[in-house]
Amino acid sequence: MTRPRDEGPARCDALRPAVADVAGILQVVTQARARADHLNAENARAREVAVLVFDLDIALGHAHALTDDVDIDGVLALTVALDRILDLDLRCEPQRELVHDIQVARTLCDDLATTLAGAAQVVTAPERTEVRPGLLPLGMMRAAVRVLPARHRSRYDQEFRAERAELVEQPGCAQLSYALRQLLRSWHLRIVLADALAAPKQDRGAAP
Amino acid sequence: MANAPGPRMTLPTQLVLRAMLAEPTQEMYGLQISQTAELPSGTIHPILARLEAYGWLESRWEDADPREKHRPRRRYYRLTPDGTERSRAALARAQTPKALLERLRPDLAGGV
Repeated sequence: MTRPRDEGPARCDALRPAVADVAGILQVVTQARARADHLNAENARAREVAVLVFDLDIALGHAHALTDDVDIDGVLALTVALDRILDLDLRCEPQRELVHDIQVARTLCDDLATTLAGAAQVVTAPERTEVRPGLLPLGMMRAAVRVLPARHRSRYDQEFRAERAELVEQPGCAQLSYALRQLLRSWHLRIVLADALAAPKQDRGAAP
Repeated sequence: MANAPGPRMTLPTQLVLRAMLAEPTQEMYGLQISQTAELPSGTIHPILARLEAYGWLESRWEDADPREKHRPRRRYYRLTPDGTERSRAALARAQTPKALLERLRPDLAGGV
């Protein structure tokens, strides 16, 4: 069950409303995940649903983590994960209830963040692990570029390689982390680029 | 023009726009934007692509010889004049609690 990281009666009292928020978040994200399974079986846009399911699993992982240890870093991680789902811009009729669930969870995250900020939570940085540099980041970046629409591959290949070059002086884990993040988000980028192709710039004033 | 609908104002999108509005005329490359906004690098490019599709951003290749720089050319992004105006209006309408933004980017939470 949700518990504060540090002891102290006053802080425990301040964090009490957070318990209900975490329970609510877990409930609606779990419900959204179940709805996504239903979409997976019915929706023709398989790639979009695959990205949605992937992001929902990440969000669900963050929500479960909050039930073990509620802290503002966890809330922020969940908030960003939920925003990524909203950023997918799901507009099909069967997806509306799912989007509503995510918006409810997002609102609860805002409440939770406000509660935690009030409780002056002590934040500790995550432990860092050293990873030796190698060909793995390069392979990941190539895989990320291959996911993109053909006409964009050259641009992003050069763009990603230029950015990775900035990390040469940093530990190998920085390059690996950069490449992994590009790979994990490449399907999302593909969807955005495909949407941009489908909607010419002169129509950009319309709702996305 | 500033009231026209635009991209969804998610928290990462707000952070990107706030980072770029800090110096609206300055060009920044993707990694630089992600570091300024303190967002994971993979999050940045979908947001930049969407903002560019809406005409809020424009991008160009760096004017540099990769052989001299010993690296590929960077892709630089900059807010368009219209994008600057619409970003400010969209951020003013955004409902993100200040506590969240302060935790993420204390220097950007005060406004743009």
